Amino acid sequence: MRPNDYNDLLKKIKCTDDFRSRMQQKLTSAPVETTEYADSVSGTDVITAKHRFGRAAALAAAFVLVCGAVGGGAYHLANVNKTTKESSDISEAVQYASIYSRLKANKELYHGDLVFKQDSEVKLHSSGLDIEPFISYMDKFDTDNMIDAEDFDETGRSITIDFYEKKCDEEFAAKLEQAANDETINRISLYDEASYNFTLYNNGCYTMTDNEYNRTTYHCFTDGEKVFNDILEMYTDGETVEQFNNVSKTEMMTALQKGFDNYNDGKAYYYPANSNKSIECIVKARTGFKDELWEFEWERAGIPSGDVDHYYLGFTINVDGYMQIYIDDMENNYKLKNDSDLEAFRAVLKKHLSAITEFDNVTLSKQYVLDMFDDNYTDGSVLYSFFNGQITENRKCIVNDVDGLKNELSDLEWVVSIGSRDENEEFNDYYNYVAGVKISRNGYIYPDSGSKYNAVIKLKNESDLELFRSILDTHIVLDDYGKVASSREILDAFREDYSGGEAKFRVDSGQFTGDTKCTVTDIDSLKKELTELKWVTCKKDEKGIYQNFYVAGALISRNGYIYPQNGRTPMCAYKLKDESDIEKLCEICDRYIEIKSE
Amino acid sequence: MNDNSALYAFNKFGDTVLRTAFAMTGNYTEAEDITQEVFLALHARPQDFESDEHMKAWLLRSAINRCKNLRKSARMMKNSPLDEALASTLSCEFTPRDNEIREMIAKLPEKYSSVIFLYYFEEYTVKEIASLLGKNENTVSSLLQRGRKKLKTELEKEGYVYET
Repeated sequence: MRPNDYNDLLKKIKCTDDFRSRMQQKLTSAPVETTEYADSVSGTDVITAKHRFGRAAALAAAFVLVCGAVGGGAYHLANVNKTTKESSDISEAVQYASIYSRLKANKELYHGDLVFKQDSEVKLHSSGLDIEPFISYMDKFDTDNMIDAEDFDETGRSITIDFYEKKCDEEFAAKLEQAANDETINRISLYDEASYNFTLYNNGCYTMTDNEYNRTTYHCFTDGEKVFNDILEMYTDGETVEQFNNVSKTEMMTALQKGFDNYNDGKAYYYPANSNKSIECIVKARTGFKDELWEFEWERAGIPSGDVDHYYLGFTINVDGYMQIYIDDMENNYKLKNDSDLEAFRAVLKKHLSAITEFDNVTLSKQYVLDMFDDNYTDGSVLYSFFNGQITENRKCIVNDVDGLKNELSDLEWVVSIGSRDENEEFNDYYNYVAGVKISRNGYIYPDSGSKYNAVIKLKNESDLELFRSILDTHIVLDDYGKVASSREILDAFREDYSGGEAKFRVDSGQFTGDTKCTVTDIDSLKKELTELKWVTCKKDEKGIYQNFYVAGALISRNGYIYPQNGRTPMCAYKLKDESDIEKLCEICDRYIEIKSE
Repeated sequence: MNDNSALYAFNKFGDTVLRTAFAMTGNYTEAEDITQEVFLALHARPQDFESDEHMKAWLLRSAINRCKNLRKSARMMKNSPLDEALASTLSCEFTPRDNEIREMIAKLPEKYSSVIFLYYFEEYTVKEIASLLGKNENTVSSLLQRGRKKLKTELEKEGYVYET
């Protein structure tokens, strides 16, 4: 969907006169008190129920903090041996308290186990960590600020810290000692369950879980990648963090490939900073662009907040040297590793991304059109789709001479298709996967994943349409003989401008015997009765076609064939599905076609 | 700002609120109900708006919240296509493409439909949307991008792509 389609529909939506009049009547009458939640306003922001909950949580958290300071240890010790409670048993103060505040209030009782995962693989595991640095760091943020679970997104990189009671160490040591003295014990568990868990993803989304009360809250840091790295650095050295943030060449190639694969609507969009008006662009050479981006060294890093000029082309590239690529629905953020590459990077963007208006009505070079096609494609089958808003029928075709097709098409004059395009017009019957592009019979070539370029191109001159179609018909032929032909196909086999009257009959059994003049008395009835017979597609060179046939808007062979004469190069001929119908065919021909006596 | 009344708000922003609700539900009848709730609530509890823009932001936020609640409740009606009767009442014509887009809107999760509407139709900036919805800018950018992608996926499911 393009924004234009969306806006066009919404513009049509407005209050009906009836609704408007009912509302005006209600709003001039005395108000009726509603029992629903009230919206309240503070400054320019609307404060919702969620925010009010946040305030309640902050209030409750403050209460817990005071209790924690006064008698936190006692509070904690009174609760440590309790089993997990059902939510309904939780006192209101605890229920609304921030989990982080509860952890912090008893921080001296805990230490942490940290696991760093990348794409489900554990890259780092550290145990028995001092949680004081974590607490000090988290204190810099508003940990009471929650987000809805539905706004929470996981990514491929995560840090989980499980907070265990320190006394578990003693228990574990005792278990070890017991196991050493008891041969029947062959397995001991490290801890039963962490009291709290913190899981952070590199997009800034994090959860806090309180296992005692079986409760999880959802939050988000603004600068996720920075926080992610800061916490990682707390518990490992800078060199290891740098190593984790390295992006291998193979990984970047995959990421770029995925990014460019997302880009299939033929356009890129440029978003200047502090503006929500996008400028349509085209990628001049997709493969070259991808390779040049790949040449740079990249590392993982968060994209700083703030509006910066950026492009969207299936993934986001910002002019400050950042890329955001979604791989398998996971967000991946990359930054140029070396700041010294920034200038060269911007030059690459400038080289490959151009405002589409630069191409307005500019005839494309023959080479540009040739480069639309995938050089690796030499032959093979393609799908021909009858399209009328939706695909109504698919037919298998063969491109019999790829080079010939490319050459002849590139000899025509082409321009970039600019602006809001009518897709139904563009794709009214088209060929898929023709050497990396799709070709519509209405004179458009649409780049596919194998194409070097991204812009949709169209014939510059409408007068070339007939020639264009004849090139397609010459080089792309139907390859599903034996398929039942529709009435539409049989009717289409006839010349549109043929209205009956003069016709010819030819008897040809290997030796030309000359034409006999005929008259078609009622062409419409003839065609109608022919469509009532069952026809299947067949090769155009079947011998039976050219023996005993009429030339009457189409070739109608008394041997049971129809060969199209609609002015286009036919993709196939048609033959009667059942030979037993040949007699009927001859009867129909005899009824409507009269041989003129010499 | 001259008038804080609900009637003034409705006359000025009635269509905007209706569109917001439609952009989130994909259902005209539901959109009318939401619009009615928003303005009747304002009528019952007048607010002190500093400007028309402030009023508009309040109305949009209120409509979005109500759409969220509606989607969470069992009240959501079965989606019905934009029919000829509605087209004739609105003196417009709904194309088959309009119905396809309406279906996409109805299927799109609320978190995406709200940012897509505010960005593409109301032309708020990411920063403004973040402020309006109480989300951070990165989240809004990410929702915008994912929303676009999700729409594309939905369209693919319906066969409106050019691969087969």
